[in-house]
Amino acid sequence: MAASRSVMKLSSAKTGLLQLCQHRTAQTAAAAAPSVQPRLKKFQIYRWDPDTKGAKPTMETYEIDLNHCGPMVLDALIKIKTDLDPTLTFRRSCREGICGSCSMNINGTNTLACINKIDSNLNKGTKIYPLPHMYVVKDLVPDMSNFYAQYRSIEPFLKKKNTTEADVGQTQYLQSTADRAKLDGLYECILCACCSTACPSYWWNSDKYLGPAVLMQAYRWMIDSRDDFTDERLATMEDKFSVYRCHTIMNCTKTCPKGLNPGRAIGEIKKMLLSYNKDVAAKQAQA
Amino acid sequence: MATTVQILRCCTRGSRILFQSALLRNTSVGTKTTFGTSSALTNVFEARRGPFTPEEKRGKGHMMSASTHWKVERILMIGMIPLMPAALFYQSPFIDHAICTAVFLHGYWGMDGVLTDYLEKFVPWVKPLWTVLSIIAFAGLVNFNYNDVGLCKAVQMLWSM
Ligand code: SF4
Ligand code: SF4
Ligand code: FES
Repeated sequence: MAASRSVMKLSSAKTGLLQLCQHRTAQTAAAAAPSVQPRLKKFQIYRWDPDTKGAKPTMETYEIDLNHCGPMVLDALIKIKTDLDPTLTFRRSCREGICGSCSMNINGTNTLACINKIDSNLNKGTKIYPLPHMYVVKDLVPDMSNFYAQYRSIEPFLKKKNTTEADVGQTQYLQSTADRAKLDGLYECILCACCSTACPSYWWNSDKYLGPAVLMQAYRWMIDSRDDFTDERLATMEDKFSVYRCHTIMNCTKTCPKGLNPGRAIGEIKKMLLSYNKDVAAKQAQA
Repeated sequence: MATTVQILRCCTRGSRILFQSALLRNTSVGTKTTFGTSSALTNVFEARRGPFTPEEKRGKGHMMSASTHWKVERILMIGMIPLMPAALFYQSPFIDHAICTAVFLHGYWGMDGVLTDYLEKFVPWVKPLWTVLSIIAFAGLVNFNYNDVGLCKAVQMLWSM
């Protein structure tokens, strides 16, 4: 998924296909209602070009006819890019809320552009910014390196004790239905970072605080019945920043476009930290 | 007046760093590449961005682990719920000292958290300062309990004024 998040460039073949689709929709629309009023809607979009030396970020306004545009904000962005301004830069891949590339701040809410409906109120413009408190690479593209580095730091993979290279692939690690059910609501996270960048604690301390997205994944591996490193994983949280900068403000849960609850997961980590095997933590501190 | 300005200047050393980097960010939106040309001061600030190693985050010389600390804080908070009304009905030096310690610790840790959130990374010496101030305040409260009417009685007198 991460690999697919390259800065978007529409290939000419895709552009052609898109225009064809739009043409078709326009034709059918025209057939159904002969005199369609144009539904012009303004989009104010954050622009910043790293290649112009000393350039400051600006807000640029584009107007498009919603009759000739798909229903979602991403459709509008793509239409602006193809029809009005090919320099507009944003990430997108799946256009169905599963890759997590198109997260941005739309009308003040962090969300996925591809599953966020365009507000049909034509009098009000839609404002689009990159994810808040992130370094901007260009226009709506934020620098995710710190976020990914934090994700890497929690070791988001199954870890077993007393296994060697030779054991790998020999037997399946089975899990009861109940244990598997514990992962529901956690594994669906697409790492779009909408939650982390909505968290005031993350705005201030993203250098040391892991943030809701990464913490929920940390929790996902802590409670996996097949994982043998629960205590060690908890021990890595033993400082005042990694978890304890969360003050249960719950912006994360409110904004998650996938309807997940990272705030709860952090609460569960705090609960687990109350009664885990601390010797492991001590050993780790020595090592 | 002049001294006040001087003191304020000293205190805002950290925030000035923040301000300067904010200025730079306005002109460059904080791309890391353009920071190479900024002043040494902002580079120091820039260098403090993570990710940090677990050891760095943990720090040294703690009396208890972060999770134990969190536990103690919660226990204290829950303990304060019955303690407050108890002090209304029953006054004694013991309750005085208990309320004093609980409220003090709660306030101390609460403010400590705020400083960790917002200030410590820009003004590193603010935490020791806060500890010293708190110890002085606590000593004052204990002294008041021993040598005067005591905290509960004082609050009562305040309300009946
Ligand atoms: S928890 Fe939700 S908002 Fe956060 S990264 Fe995962 S999908 Fe995105
Ligand atoms: S609940 Fe925690 S992680 Fe979520 S927004 Fe609040 S402080 Fe951030
Ligand atoms: S394009 Fe994949 S989540 Fe929006």
